[in-house]
Amino acid sequence: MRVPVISANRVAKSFGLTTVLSDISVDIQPGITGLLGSNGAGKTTLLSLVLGIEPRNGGELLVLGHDPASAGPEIRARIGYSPEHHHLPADVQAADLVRHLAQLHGLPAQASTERASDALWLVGLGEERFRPIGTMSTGQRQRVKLAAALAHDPALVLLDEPTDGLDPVQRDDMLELIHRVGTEYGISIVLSSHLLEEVERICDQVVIIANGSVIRSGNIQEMRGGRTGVMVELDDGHEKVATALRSAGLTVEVKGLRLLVDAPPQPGADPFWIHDYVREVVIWANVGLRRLGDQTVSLEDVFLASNDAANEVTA
Amino acid sequence: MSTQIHDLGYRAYQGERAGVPWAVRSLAVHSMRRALGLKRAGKHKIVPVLTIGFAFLPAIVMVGIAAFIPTIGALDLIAVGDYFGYIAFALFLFTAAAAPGVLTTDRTTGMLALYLASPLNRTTYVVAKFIGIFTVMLLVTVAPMVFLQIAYTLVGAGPGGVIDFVTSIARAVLAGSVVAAALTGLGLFISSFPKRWGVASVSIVAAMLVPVIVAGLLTEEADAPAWVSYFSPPDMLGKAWEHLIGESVDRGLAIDDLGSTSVIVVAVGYAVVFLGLTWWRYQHIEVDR
Repeated sequence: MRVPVISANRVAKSFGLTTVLSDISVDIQPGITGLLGSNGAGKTTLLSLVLGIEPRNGGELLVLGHDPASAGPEIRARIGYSPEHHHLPADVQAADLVRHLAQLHGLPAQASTERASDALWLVGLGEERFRPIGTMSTGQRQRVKLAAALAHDPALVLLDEPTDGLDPVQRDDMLELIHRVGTEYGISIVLSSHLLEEVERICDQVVIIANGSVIRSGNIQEMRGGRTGVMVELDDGHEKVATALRSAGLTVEVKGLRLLVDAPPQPGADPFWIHDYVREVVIWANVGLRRLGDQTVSLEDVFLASNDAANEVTA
Repeated sequence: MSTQIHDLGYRAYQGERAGVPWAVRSLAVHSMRRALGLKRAGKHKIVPVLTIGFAFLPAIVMVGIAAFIPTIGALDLIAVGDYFGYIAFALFLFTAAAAPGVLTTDRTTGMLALYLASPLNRTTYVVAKFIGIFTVMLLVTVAPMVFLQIAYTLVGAGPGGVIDFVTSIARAVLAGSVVAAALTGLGLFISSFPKRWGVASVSIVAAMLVPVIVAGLLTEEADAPAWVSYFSPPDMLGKAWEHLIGESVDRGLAIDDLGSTSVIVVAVGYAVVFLGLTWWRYQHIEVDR
């Protein structure tokens, strides 16, 4: 069994009378994990508790097997952190900043210099490493922060909104880079984001936070799985096709231009019989077919369903 | 001839990892470099070079005079005890430049969040900053005096025997360290509030000058008791310097009536209290993430 990199049990955090986290209970396994929630949901506060920067008000928390409240420096030495902001010191060269932070994390001077250079090459800033950060674009600064988080060879990297301020091309590049780090280099990553699409794209686990609580967590594929049947998208004639399918004993749900068609499992039958049947009905109805495929659940569906459930409980 | 790019990929680090003391040392050294303007644009080197120059100038001039005019009497040379008065301006300028430059900017540039995500915490961060600035301050306080004592000795105008020489050096180190610690503490504490380092610099200069003027007026013009001077850091540091060097001069001012022990305790107290206040401030400071 894999040991969680972060294990939280009923973790709570308040600032004065404001409760930011009320009940965080989750095990985050090695790999790439998306910490998902709207702005102000408590993601950054949770990262602060993981780093041991802020004391928690209750609950149990283990990070890399240690409690951040008592072993903060030891844990932080093995964590790389990229904060949300990107206004780094303007007059410092990227290589100097990364080297300095690697040294603070315990690496000797020579190793810090070498690894800072390697990390900057890794994130695509090798040629730019001696440029003052003030002359760099937002995209380059995000890369500098990632290099600084990686240079000391951490066991866990916390990235807070690493694509903030990036254009679509830079965003794609950054997500690709993070995915490489998480999959090829054996470093666990917690990616805090309010963007479903990017979490869905590169993460294998997700923790959804709303109102200071974890409302859903687990493997994204498992969350999205479990749905059978076919999705068919038509130009028109939705009712005609739906009626025909229902009369054949299939369940049909009309969602805009789409029909979600399902049937009770039929042991021994061709797994694609339902696809074939729906295609025949569409031909019979003589309507325009846009798309036909398996029903899938997007992370957005999971997120919205989880939010609805959380709101019902709150109400 | 062909060129080939070798992608080294990512290499895990198997070597030694040092702990918190190394992190404190690293940040202290980094702060020293920043304060001295090393690896920074030329404009950042102006104040350190000028202030260190100002601090050494009287010593260099005096050593030159002593060397080239052997007939000059020791009474005509600047005594080490008087040196504070000659370099006070450089000291205040350096404090006003160095402390905000390494503390205030960490908050505005977001470095504080990165430091607190390292093995450092809020306490060790303040300790590292104190060590960094304090060490640089020694260049302005201790170094010129040690230079002066050694140079006076070499040209035959210094302490007579070895014991006197060692004692005079020890006194210079002690006096300079107390002043450096107090000014570092005061500079760090004031720098822990404003978001702009310029505001912090002006505030530090004001925190030096205003108490001197007010205490001077109260004690000399309004017949206020001498203990009012306890609340004037520059007056206390200047007098503590004289007492620690062992060359206290009675200028007929109210401050001269204060006991040497109390003056030294208050000067050390400034260092302790301001460092404590800076620590307290950083326990509660909001970190921009």
